[in-house]
Amino acid sequence: MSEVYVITSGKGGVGKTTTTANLGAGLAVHDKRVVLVDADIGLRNLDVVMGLENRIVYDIVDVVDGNCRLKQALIKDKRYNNLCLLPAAQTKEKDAVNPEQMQKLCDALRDEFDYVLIDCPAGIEQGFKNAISGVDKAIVITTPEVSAVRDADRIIGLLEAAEVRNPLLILNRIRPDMVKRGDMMALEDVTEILAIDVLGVVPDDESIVISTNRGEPCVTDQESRAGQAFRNITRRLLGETVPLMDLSIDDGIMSKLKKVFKL
Amino acid sequence: MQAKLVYHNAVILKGRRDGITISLDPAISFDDLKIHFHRRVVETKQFFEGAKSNVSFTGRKLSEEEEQELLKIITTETSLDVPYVAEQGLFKPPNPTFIADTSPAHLPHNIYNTSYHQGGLRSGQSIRYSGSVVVLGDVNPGSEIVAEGNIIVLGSLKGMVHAGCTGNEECFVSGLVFWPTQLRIANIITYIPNDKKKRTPSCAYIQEGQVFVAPLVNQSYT
Repeated sequence: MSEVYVITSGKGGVGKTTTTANLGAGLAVHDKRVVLVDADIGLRNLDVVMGLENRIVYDIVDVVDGNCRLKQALIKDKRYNNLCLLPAAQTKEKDAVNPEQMQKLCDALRDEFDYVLIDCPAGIEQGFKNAISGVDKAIVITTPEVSAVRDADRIIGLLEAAEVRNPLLILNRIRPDMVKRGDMMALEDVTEILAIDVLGVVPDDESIVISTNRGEPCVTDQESRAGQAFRNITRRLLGETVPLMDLSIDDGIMSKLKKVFKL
Repeated sequence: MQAKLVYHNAVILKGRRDGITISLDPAISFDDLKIHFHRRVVETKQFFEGAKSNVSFTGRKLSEEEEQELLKIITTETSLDVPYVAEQGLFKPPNPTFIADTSPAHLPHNIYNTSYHQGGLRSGQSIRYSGSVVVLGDVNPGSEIVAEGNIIVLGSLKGMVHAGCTGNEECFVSGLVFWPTQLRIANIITYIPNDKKKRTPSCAYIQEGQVFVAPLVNQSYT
């Protein structure tokens, strides 16, 4: 039974694309057939983050317009044979696709893959409406900032209105030291407002920037703490019960070790 | 005295901006003319020296062999390089095979209308044209140029480019910083590997079904 997820946030820059890439790679490690769909037409990024930009020949608009077959537009990942990308068009606009076409597309992908992950554009306009039109479930990303949480709340309301029930929350870019000092919202503060199930917490990590620029998801990087968080999230998606990472303690040891080595 | 004057005017050379016009006396025989012509060319050798110029004959109807004979005199006696001969002051378009013989590198003879663009392309912008495209500016990643003819970018080329999109394998792509995201010529799709080399001005073309990227200038200059 395949599942179609949309990864959305409302606010831009909170990590939708990074999360999509990492969950996709993470699920592929577990031998699932996964397709990532970039619904951000006109501002596509997922291909760049996956390091597949130079392989694009056809895109999602070509598929819905019937310029090519669906299989022709799917780009196989460099590392995992069972991971594919359906790239967005860069020179078109959001209205090049409509919700009915997206729904048809999702249904076609359902037959071929175990997981369909749709990378939603920022905003609540046409692109968002397209991205959520054919999905079963939603993953809402937010960062511990009031503006991002506000937008996530709005998105959850819109998802409910579109009958996408029980979205899951990923709190991204959290900094345990700042939370400890009381300068940043803690997970509890965010869940108190949003009141949805938590899928995971991802710490702010330099390795994300490095892996994004290299075009390689960090989920396979055993050293990366964000990678560990995404591995945990992947296992939770697969139905396992994995406790949340204890960020504060781990970070303490890491910082102490760093201090020791710097001395 | 009188005769000499006539002889003197039998061949008159005139320099023009776009070449040399040689006016010939129609009244004398070709053999006589040839002698005068030869003398005149030798006399005015400096006039031709080191020039690369078009030559046109006026005043007299010449057969093809006659024309060739006169040209031969010029080329053997002087260092003038004659790219082509114009007729009656109207210049013939250069013969493509002739260009191929003299230019240092052979470019396939494809003729397209050209669309010129001032200013670069940013991500998401695209140019599609049923001919060649020249961009005076940078072509950034995420932008695309699709042309039926050639593509020349006077700036850095980092977007997607497709030359000869209707299938002409003779089309080429050129850029000053040559690093297209993806490079397509006719039906071949390829990309430049990220090998961290310096990107020099280059030209990409198809030879024997393969895309080659050649530097435009000698590596040692850059």
